[in-house]
Amino acid sequence: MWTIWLSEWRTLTRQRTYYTFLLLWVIVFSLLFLLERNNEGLTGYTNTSGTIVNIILYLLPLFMMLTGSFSIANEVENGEWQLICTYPLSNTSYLLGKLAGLFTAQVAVFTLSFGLSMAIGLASGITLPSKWLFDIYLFSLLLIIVFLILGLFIGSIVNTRWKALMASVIIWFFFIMIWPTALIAVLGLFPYPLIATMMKIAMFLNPAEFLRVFLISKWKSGAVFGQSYDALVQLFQSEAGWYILVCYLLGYLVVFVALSILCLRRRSWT
Amino acid sequence: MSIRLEMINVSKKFKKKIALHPFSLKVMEGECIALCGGNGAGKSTLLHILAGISRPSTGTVKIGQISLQQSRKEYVSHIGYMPDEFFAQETMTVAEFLRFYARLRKTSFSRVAELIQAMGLEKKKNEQIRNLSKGMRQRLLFGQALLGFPPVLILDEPTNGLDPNWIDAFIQLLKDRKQAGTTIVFSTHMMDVAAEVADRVIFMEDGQEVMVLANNYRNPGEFMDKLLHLYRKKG
Repeated sequence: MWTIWLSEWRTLTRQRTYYTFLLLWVIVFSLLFLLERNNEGLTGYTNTSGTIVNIILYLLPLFMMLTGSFSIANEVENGEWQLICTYPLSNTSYLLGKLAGLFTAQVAVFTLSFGLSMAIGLASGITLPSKWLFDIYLFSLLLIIVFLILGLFIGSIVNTRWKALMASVIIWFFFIMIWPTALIAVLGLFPYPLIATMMKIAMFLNPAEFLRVFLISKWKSGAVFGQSYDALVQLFQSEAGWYILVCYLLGYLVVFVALSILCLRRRSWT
Repeated sequence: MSIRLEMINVSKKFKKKIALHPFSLKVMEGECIALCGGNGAGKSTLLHILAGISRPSTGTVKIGQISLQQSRKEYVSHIGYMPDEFFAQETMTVAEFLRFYARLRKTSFSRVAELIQAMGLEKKKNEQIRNLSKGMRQRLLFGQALLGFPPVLILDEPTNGLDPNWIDAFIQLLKDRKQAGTTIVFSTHMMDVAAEVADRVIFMEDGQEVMVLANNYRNPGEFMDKLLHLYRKKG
């Protein structure tokens, strides 16, 4: 597992595209922080916080799914996967090594750019509350891990980069872009008394939506989701909210890691 | 000498296409087999099955008493495989590439240094793979296959892209491995290489064995002419 981790880390950090992420994040976050220059007290769910959360939601899931899926699809396409199959390496070690390597590399570049933007913001005289920064940072890290594993799952199913790109974009479009519209359209088919329950169930199916609701609830602004989410928002705001988050993430990781290993096992000896 | 590698009625079917018809083969310790035939003859399919990459549709494959189907992980720890084409790990250096696979094989780094020297890549050891020529990549891949002193070597067109000097060196390396008791199965389009090192040459066509020639090494020139004649006829 550590061999794969090291190889993944080296491969990523030697690619020029890796550093374009750094540049991109520095530009995006610096601009967003500078937006707050004229506002007092950046706490909770404000217009700027909403914009930052939305931009992170637009960019991070897509980038992470592309990175994760390409990481495996590329190896299948260029023959490295076949060579690795001739070594006594388990699919579990391979997948966990990849996940750890990609996560480390992405967290490193994200943390560096977040820190640089923060420094730029502070140097420009903007007050950036540490709790607010920490919440945004944690939200981003969770999106990174969740969508990386989803990307690795895509990579373990498809066998070319082109297919990996298509699958990642479709899932991103569905989870991020069209989710509210799709939800309204689908839930309209259910009897009225069931809609509120189905909305909550649907939220658990979309990790981006779950994390968004969780973050905004923690900012004590859950009212924006409407009355049907009240009980859930209160639960997220309580101490138990953190346990729910941990259980949800663990469940999500276990399910997708297991599914990916299963797919790799089928592929590794076809 | 005992049987090292055994295939019994092994076949491979991709959906409706039969890539390999039922095929049986016994290879002894220290024996070298060359697979010849035109493109699409089934050589790579056969080698992929032997290397544990591809699951046979029917039949059994064994190294000694270790069955590929029953304990694949143990089976692959006994082979060294060299693919025919490889474009991966471009940003890794030669030494890093071999160290990466040495770790997977649980082989010491001193073996890596040994192979870098044996493959004539000492001056290139800190060079990224993307800067290597085709022949150098082939040597690197061959080195990778030799990492863990495998008792069975599976080589897919190993002499592709090698210059004449390195083809001679490669033949010598194969002879040395044979002497050390390694069982070798390789595919090639170069009849002179097959004539020099292979104890048996198997001609394949449309996924089946069409002819087997045993090499008695008494008259290499005549044997190579015979192979060339057959290759042109069958290939």
